Amino acid sequence: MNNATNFISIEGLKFFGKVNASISHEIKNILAIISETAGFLNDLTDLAKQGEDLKLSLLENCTESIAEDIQRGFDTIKQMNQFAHSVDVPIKEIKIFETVELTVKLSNFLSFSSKVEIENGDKEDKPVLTCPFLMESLIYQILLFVYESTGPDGHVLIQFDSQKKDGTSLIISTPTNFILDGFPTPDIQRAAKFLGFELNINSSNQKLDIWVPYVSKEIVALEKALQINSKS
Amino acid sequence: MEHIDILIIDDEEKFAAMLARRIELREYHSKVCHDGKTALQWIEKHLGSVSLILLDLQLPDMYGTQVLEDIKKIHPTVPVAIMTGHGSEKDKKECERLGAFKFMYKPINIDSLMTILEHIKEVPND
Repeated sequence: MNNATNFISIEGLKFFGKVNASISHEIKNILAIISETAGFLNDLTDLAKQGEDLKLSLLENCTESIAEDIQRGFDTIKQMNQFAHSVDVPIKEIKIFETVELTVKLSNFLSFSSKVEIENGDKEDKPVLTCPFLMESLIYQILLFVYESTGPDGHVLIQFDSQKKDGTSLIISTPTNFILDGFPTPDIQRAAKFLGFELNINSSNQKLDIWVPYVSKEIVALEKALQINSKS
Repeated sequence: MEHIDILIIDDEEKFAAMLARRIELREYHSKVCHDGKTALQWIEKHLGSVSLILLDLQLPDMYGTQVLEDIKKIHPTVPVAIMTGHGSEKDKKECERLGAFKFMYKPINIDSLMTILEHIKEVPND
């Protein structure tokens, strides 16, 4: 196995485990809310049996709450399914906005995540030939790094700049300064290298700029390496 | 100063609110904090006015074990029970070492919680 595929296997398993753990935590939280709401309905029923008036508004609130949490569960499972399918084909054309949006949603399952706003000024979602799983892993790791600096009350803005023909710039910023000491970590650096992405820190205006080429020579080389590995 | 029977520290707002309502229905007083820092500030200001603290391990600003350690520094005798969705055996041992008297998994059984609270109120801690 070459360096790139070895890296994807090891780092990929770590990433997969981390995302699965956060999704299972989210599902457990949803079930805990539904369980407490069902328990509250049971309490109200017991009180009604004892002759207390049953307030219809309370019943309505409970059923609405259960319906909302069931929807939250469905949304979580949908994201889990989308994420699981990102390993179906190692290299393929993906939509950049869609991939970033999914990765942000996955990172928001973490209790310390900041609020993220994604602004797609270009409207058109550009296709990128990449390794979807490694790209999600890279953006996820970068977001975690940013969250550590901005904290759970912080706001993060992600913008896209597709003015250049051969790629899109993914710009991450916050209204307040963020501490970028130690960025990029060796794992972030390696993932970006294998994908052919460039990481630029603009320290004057506190922005992270991730250059995402539509097709990089690195990704073409990785595709070839993966084909050789699958044949051998 | 109003006495609080159960202080719930949990960032899952709907869960904490529903649990608080069920406690109130049983004619006990409860208070909810959604992060570690706010909870610690409240405990510091209301020393001795809470019977039981229910603490989640996954909080947005601090890990639950750190909150537990800080609670015990402020108020060493207050009973703290951990309630978690996914606590590991390692977490459990660490919480016991730091002074938690109970480690519970969500969903919480309200009757068991009331039994614990009644027992605590029969034997005041300070």
